[in-house]
Amino acid sequence: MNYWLQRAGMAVLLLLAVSMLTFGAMNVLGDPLFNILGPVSGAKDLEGTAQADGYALRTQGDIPSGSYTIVEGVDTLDHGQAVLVVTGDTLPRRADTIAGLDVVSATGTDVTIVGGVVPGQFVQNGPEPSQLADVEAAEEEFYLDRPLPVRYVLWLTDFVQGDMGPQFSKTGEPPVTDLIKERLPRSFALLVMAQILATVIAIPWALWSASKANKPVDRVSTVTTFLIIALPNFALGILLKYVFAIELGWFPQTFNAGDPFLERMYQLFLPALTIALPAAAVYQRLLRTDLITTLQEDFILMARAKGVSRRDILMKHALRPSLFSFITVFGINTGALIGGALVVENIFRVPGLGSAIVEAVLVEDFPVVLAIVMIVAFAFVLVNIVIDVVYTLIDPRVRA
Amino acid sequence: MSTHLQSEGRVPEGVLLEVDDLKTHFRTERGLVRAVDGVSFSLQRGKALGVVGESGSGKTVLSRTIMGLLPSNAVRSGSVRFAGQEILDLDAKQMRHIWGREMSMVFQNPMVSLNPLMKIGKQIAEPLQIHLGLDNRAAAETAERLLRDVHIPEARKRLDQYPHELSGGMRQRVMIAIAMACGPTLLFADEPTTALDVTVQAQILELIGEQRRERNMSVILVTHDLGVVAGHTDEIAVMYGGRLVEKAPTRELFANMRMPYTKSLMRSIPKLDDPSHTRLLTIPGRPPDLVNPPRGCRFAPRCAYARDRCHQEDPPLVTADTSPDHVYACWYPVGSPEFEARDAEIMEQITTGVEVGGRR
Repeated sequence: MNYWLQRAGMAVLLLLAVSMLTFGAMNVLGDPLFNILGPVSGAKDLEGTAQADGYALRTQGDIPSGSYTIVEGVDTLDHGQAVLVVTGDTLPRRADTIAGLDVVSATGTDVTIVGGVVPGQFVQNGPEPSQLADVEAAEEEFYLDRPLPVRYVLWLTDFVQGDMGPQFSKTGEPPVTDLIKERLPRSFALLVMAQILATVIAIPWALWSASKANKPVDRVSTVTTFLIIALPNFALGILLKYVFAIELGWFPQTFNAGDPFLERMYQLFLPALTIALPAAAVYQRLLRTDLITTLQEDFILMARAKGVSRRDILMKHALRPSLFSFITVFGINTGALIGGALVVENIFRVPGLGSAIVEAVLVEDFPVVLAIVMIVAFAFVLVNIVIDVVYTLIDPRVRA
Repeated sequence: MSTHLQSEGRVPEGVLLEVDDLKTHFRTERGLVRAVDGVSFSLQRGKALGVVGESGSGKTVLSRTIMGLLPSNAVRSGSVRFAGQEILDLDAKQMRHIWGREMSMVFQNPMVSLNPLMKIGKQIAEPLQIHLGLDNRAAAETAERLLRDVHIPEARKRLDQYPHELSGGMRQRVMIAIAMACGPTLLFADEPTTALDVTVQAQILELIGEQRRERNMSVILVTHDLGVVAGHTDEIAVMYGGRLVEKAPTRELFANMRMPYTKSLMRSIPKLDDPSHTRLLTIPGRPPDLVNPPRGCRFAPRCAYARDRCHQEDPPLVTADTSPDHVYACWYPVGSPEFEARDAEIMEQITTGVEVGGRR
């Protein structure tokens, strides 16, 4: 009992630490105000060549008219981002615009902007008087006028009560809670299905392999596991989709959120299999090794001497004591798979948590990122507590 | 309780086990390991045979070979007739009907020979269900009775316990109960007391003897300790380097041992009437390499009594003049003039403190 209280305490501490670190990290990344409102600073008009903050900006092609802000301290140069590069500077400077610009080049202090829309880092100049109302509203809603620790506590209070706040970047989008409610069940179903498939594949495979240890068939199976593990999952996903969905037509190609439950589970089978196969290969490796070790134990010889059949020796005597590494990795995997299925979600068009977190990170939408991180952390903690219970069920010696 | 467990002639006679020129070789990367190399003997029903030898003498492999419990790199040849049936050529599937039912084994270390994740009751019930087809309830009742037979208190409670909840001696009793479950005719006890402390050792040997007499079961007791077999066997076979080097009825062996090796084993046991701090005589050197066994007598390189002939020619098993059941393999056995002459020299050297060793 005491032990479980300790476990629960540790879990709460872990969740708090995860949320604190993520919250801090997201705030280091940039000014939330900017992400909410877009550029609100004293923008310069960049028609043709213009002076902006002391730099001569030269534009190429058609530059839509609008306000441009020069922001410093940016070190990412992604596609679609308009960036101001000042030659000789180690730090590129990023220009934020409301219009669409694409490429930027610079010579000396002459800077060329060729399009691109970017979320920026921080507002360099103060907001214009016309935007003050918006800024105040945003500060109110996101507690931006409070110090960071206070903001954290306020966020946590809301979060614990099930209110994950509004999304940052997309005005008019539903609150984070609604987004999670939509995405989580899919990701959860995908994870559960993948883990069940992986287990169902791995256990018989490992039993078979261990009973034929080091014979040619076992070697072939070992090479197969390595192949599956080494194959990147987009390749595996595309192969499965091509063979089973496109060529054979046994499974649908994409996920449709509007379909009835069973239909949706059917649509999730191939993505689940794509996640399950590499996991199964890893589980098979662990189980096979542990089984081979167990089969050399004296109590296995004892079981043989009792007249127990090969099959029963594997199933009744060797399997249970060999499950520990497998279960441990199974638990760790659960945390990784629930939020990490991005590639698979993309290939099979399943909008789940994986794609949500990547979208949110790209636009620096902290509430969404925080919410998903917390869900993954929570799932991780929960599964590992369950796994502790499973240990005690398997091995009576752990109960003491 | 009697400490002498020799059978007293009331058991039906008859040969249960006949082993003829049995060889067990292991294919390894170093080469062929001749772990058992041409062993022959027979065992009467209800009798106890002690197999004695150092580590690596092949005694454990011998018992596992007879039972057929060998790893896949083992090659067996020769003949093992059990209750009139040749069993050496049976495969594991056929042997399964003999294992646990006709032949059982008590292993050396009870700490690791019971499945740690299975309740005691289930482990005892397993052979009962496999061989006798008992249902769960009947098997549980029989298991409880078996636990009482091996003098485990609170037998019913033990059925639901796991091995880690029992002491070493208790676990070895459980092992014996499992081995006894289907009433085997032959029990192998492979160093059954080595992992136990001394007081428990005596109890376990006592228990095996008691079960043997009650069930008229034959026992092959494998040990490195002559003291263990002395009081608990009818016959003793001494093994060295994969071969039988001396075999005799227990009393006869202790009275008239012929092999210098047997004698050395005897001398390496401490005696109560020795003055304290007497140095025990050890056998110099190591057991022979079974990949390339030495020419001639395998013990010769370590034998203080070896002469040239011992290094050249392999001594055959010959019958002793003291008893027709006593065989030994030695060119210059204990009692021969050559032996006595060398022994006198050695004893003198020991008293003057000079190290004695065999020729290597």
